[in-house]
Amino acid sequence: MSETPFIEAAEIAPGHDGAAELVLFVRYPGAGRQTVTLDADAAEVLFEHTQTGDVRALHGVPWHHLKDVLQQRPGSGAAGGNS
Amino acid sequence: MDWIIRGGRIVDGSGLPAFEGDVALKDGKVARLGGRIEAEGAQVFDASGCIVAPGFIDPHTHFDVQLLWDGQARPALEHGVTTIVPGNCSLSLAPLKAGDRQRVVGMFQQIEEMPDAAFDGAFEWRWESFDGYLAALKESLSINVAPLVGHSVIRLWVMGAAATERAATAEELSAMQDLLAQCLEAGAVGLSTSFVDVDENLMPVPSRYAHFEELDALAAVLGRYGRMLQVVPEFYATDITLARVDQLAELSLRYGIPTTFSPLFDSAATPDNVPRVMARVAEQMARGAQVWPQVQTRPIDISFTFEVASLLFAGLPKWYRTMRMGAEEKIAALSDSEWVAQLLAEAEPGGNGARWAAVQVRGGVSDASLVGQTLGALAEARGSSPAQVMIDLSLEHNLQASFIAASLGHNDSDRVGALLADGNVHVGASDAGAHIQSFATYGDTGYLLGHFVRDRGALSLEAAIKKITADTARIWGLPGRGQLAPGFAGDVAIFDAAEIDRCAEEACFDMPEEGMRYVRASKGMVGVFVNGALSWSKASGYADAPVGQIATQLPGAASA
Repeated sequence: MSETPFIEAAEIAPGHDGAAELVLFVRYPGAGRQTVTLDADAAEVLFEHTQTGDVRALHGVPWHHLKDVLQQRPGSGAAGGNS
Repeated sequence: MDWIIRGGRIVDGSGLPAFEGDVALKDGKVARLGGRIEAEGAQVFDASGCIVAPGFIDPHTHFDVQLLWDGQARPALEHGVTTIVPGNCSLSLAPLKAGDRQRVVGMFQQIEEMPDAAFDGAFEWRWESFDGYLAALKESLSINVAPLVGHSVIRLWVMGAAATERAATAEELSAMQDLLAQCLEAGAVGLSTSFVDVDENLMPVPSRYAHFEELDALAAVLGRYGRMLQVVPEFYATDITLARVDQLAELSLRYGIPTTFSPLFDSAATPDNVPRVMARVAEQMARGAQVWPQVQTRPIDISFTFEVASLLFAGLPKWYRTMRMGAEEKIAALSDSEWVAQLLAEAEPGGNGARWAAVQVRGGVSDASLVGQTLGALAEARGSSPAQVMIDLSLEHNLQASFIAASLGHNDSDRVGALLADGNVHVGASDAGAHIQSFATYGDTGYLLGHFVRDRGALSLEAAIKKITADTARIWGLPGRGQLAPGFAGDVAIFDAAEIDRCAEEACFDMPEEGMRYVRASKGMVGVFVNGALSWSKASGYADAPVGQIATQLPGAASA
């Protein structure tokens, strides 16, 4: 079991506003699991942060990369943009 | 009598079984129904072979601006929608000081994707107060409106620039409460707020700077009037949504108000989202709280061009890398046969292009006949492959060719059908009038009645109509609407149950200064009455009678 949260899985999914989104499944120490969805802009930042352009390469990436991305997003923090 | 709707099968909105008979309308209301009705001098609308139902109510729209130059909210009316709720997601056009207009225009443009001309010259902006906005609307209103007042604009009115900087002071909270009360007195159906939306600079809208104490104080005002709180929760995270459900339930119980949240949609990527949220909703509803999740009927399509890097390609590293290039570099790469060969190998492994075959050309191409065709069909005609056709069209049109991958989410008809039938689900979330340059938000009721009722049998016709008429009127507190019963408003949708549906999406240019939007025409609808007046018919199209009313008030006689 990892001592820090990490991205357990990542999938591309449709957003309700007609754009594709990146769904991340974050696994926490102690087996907790949470879903975080990023829009295209936030995902772009994450890909740059992790120096990858492949959704599969996100598997196993530590949580701090995602946390940094969310903190760089003053607007929505995650997917959204508009309801 | 003014009108006799003759010989239809009446589904009255109560959920009770349909029955044969006429419906008589007089002075804007239903006068009688059932059996054969004779009345000298009355006009007759032949409804034989058709269903006669109450007009549909759409509880989640963004028609706030469009209504000012199009009082019919086209094409909503021709789908049988006779009452709409604008002002969702914390944004309304009133109350709004003249000096703050441009701020709010930016927020609306972010959501609605309307051209500048829609706000500049398409109407005369002469109100600041909520009742002033309603007065402007009523001048040419042909559909009923139950408008929400937006939390963001209330904040902006009271706090000015500080609305996007900090929490409110006690004095500001009190001023917001007074302002909300004025709006409710004027006819607002409730308050909308958002924990998600952003403005044109991708900064949070004002409502997102509010502390919970502010929402609680405003909910207390709603409680005095028994009015609705509409919320956009952090729908992208199930756990946060669950927390919002709990928070809304506490507000509902504390102040005796209905609350609703949207969107809630099913996705294969997060299959436990809907079951978890609905389980929490059921728990809270069982406590007596009113926390209504709004669920859309239509599946979710993904649109994309090669101009912007869509995440649709994020599972294909070579493609995604290409999409993230600058325009010139991208065109050069897509023109390089070796590079393209690698792209095709990745997208169509083993030469299998099935993944892309169903993708359709949506627009941005010089040959209009290509629009609506699948890449698979075009590939066959050209002796090519779907992905190669996609590349070719993009290059031929300077990356402006657009494509649509249809029905990728909220598309499991068994799961969505069961969800729509759930007694705790509020059918809505159409977003009509929003995202107009991204996809068509019209015809969700036709899709419900065609796909889920007729084709799938997920709900009975009576149950489905109850959900989009009487249930919606009850949830939102719209007096005298949502049923066909004597004394109720003469809002009627008449349609062929064998044909009802939505037509294919199409681009049209009916926004101010020929601005583009995507729309869907109705299918199977034959006539729509609003407050006793024939407002649209398949035979004659739209009538211009300004018969629409503010739906928070008791129905009155139609003025035309």
